[in-house]
Amino acid sequence: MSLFEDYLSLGFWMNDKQRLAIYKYLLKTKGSIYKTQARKLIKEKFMLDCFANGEIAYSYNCGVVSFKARKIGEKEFDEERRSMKLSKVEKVSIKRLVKFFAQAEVDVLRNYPIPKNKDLEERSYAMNVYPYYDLNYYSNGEGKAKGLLMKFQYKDDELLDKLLAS
Amino acid sequence: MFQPKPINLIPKLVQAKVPVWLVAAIVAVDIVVVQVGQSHEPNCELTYQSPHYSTSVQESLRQDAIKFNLTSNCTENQTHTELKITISSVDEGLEKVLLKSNLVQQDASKKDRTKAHFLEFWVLCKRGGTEKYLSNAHGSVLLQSGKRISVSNSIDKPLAILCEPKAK
Repeated sequence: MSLFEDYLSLGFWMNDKQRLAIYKYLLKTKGSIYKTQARKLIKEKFMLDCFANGEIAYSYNCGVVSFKARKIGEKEFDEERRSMKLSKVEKVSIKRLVKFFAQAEVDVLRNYPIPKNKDLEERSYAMNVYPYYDLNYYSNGEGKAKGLLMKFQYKDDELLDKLLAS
Repeated sequence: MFQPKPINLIPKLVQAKVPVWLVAAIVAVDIVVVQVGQSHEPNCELTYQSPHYSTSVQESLRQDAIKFNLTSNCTENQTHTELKITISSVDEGLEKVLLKSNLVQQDASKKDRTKAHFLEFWVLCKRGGTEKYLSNAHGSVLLQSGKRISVSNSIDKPLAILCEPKAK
């Protein structure tokens, strides 16, 4: 089992730096897959995807993309979890969608990890209010300018190097 | 011809001997009852669920950690609670920040929608050692009615916690 596969079962036990490392790892390793998916979503307006132990339903309407999630095997999708406005320029939209897909997968991993040895306790959905692609994440809601400064100062978790090396 | 004598009722009612203090008391009680009936202002509280050594972190990550679970509890159903938490250790008066969380949104519990349980906040500790901790958490609850209520709580006095699983 690879290190990345190991982390697919850690879910809500990961700390935020580790989750951000997974997000960056996904961007680096799944970039081309995400781009293909982005074109598909723009064309077909709806897309279903699986990650860890969760399912993600993306929809694209009136220039806004959003996603809902559920645990694999559950009947109903939860409420809409995140949304993002896309650009009229397709290239820009695809760039944004790539980040949106990585964020959605990290969110789903946080809530629906793959059960390892024993059944996981039932928890209600948790997420960061500010997604990793928003500079407000780095400033914790204190503005994008401060977020930009803090993003430059941010030191990645060692997990990112380990994942990329594995 | 017989003519009935009119009964002079009004003066009799006016003269009814009801003490003024009793009338005042009845009016006062009525006002209180109406106000209590109307004061359905929702209320929410944020509480720390006794920080402890986490056996679940040990089992999942093979790391020793102290877990700070929090619950927001409201008098009405909520949609979710948003929260930021800071956890510090104190050693000889020196405070060291161990965790400064991002703003986290936690859905209401499926079993009881008046509550939201935050179960993700923990800090690493040294097995066998005892450390003193301080913490503060603040945020807001979004009720199903659409109303937002601020919540906060803190551990102001250093709380000593042993970094070891409880003996069974």
